[in-house]
Amino acid sequence: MRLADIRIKSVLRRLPQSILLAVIALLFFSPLLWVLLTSFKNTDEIYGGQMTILPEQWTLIQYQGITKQAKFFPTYMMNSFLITIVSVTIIAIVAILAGYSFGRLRYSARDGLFVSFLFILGVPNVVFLIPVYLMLLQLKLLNN
Amino acid sequence: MFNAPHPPVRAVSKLNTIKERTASVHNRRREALAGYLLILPALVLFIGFLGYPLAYSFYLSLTKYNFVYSNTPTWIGLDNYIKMFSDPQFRVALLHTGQFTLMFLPALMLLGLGIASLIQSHAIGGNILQGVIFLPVVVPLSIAGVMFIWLYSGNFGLVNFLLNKVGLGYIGRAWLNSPETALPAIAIVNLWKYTGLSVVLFLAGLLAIPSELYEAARIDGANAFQLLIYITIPNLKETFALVTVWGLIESWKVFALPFVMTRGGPGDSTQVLYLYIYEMAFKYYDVGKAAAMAFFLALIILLLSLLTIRLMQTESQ
Repeated sequence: MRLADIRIKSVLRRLPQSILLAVIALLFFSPLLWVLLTSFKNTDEIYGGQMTILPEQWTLIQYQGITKQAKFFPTYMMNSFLITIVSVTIIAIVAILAGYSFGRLRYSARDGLFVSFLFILGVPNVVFLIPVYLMLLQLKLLNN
Repeated sequence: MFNAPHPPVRAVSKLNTIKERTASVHNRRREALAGYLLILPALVLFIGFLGYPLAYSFYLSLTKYNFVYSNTPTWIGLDNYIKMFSDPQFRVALLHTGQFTLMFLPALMLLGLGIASLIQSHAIGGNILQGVIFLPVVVPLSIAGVMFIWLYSGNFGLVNFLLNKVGLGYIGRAWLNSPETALPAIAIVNLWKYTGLSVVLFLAGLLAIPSELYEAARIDGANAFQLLIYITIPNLKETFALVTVWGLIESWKVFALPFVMTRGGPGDSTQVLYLYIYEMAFKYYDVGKAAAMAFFLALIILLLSLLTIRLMQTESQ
């Protein structure tokens, strides 16, 4: 009995901050939640005059639309899939070798190389964007 | 057998050291060779995709080059670097980047510290709620941008809908289409995305403060406000520094959100530095000028990164 009392007291004491935190978390979650709920509405309801939070009629029509309307959707999926597989494989192999070399082996240029790697990684992408674009332009790899 | 007399053992061991020494020179050479061989693939990729473009980009920044009209860059030395500071558009972009930083960074710290202390005060379900707040961190920025275009929209947006519900419908508008609200609206999206990380950093900082400090202060009769001012904040010095520098770098690098959401508009009210560099290269095709501005941005970010490294080092000592 007494133990239960203590427990209730401790819950009550922690109630204000819990409610505040829950409200903040809901605020952070609401955009995602709204997008999720909207995905179950039909198009008329999304762009209709009266806005709603919960779908009036739950429907999977938008998900069917993915496969029906966008006939290239499988291609998109395949592209993402291919890019991921190829790049992750190459990165994994190259990084494992380089990591072992940096971590376990001793040679004179090691630290210099490591620092220059780190240094270049810190440069923002836009610096590389322009020359890489020009390189691809010259290699005629764009838009084909 | 194991208790062999000393002298012969010594003789044998001497012989061994000489052998070992030659062997170890040999080994070291082989180790170095292996080291270089193993690093080679990474080095080739690095030079091909980062080192060479970096050097090429620097060369371009010293030239005038419009790749649509001409095939060859013209050498003009440091002209691009000098002239960019008198470009009014560049100044506007700098100003907006600064304004963005002022909107983003203080809020990032306040929210991070506030939420972290709520979680640390044993709020019920704290772990789960922390996970929920961390969720936007894994949402790709461009997708977050598309989501919020919709949320901010005048007719179909959740923001205006909720404002109407609370009776504040009269301040509702198409948030991204009015010059006064577009930049703050984008800052809020950035905040939504990065607060989770800030919370994690502050939580780590808070957990590192020894609880004896609080107990001692409480015995001395300190109230909650005094605990915050005299114990929590001074002990979070490193965390504050870390979040500041990280937030500064994120602010300077803001690009995906304005690119997806407003393209710098309406007018030039969300034109930020990174976006201006992009447009200079791929809309106006003035590659030399774009490269020069990119190096200016890289220099600033490099300095901030070095500052971070220094702070992390002092923290770990």
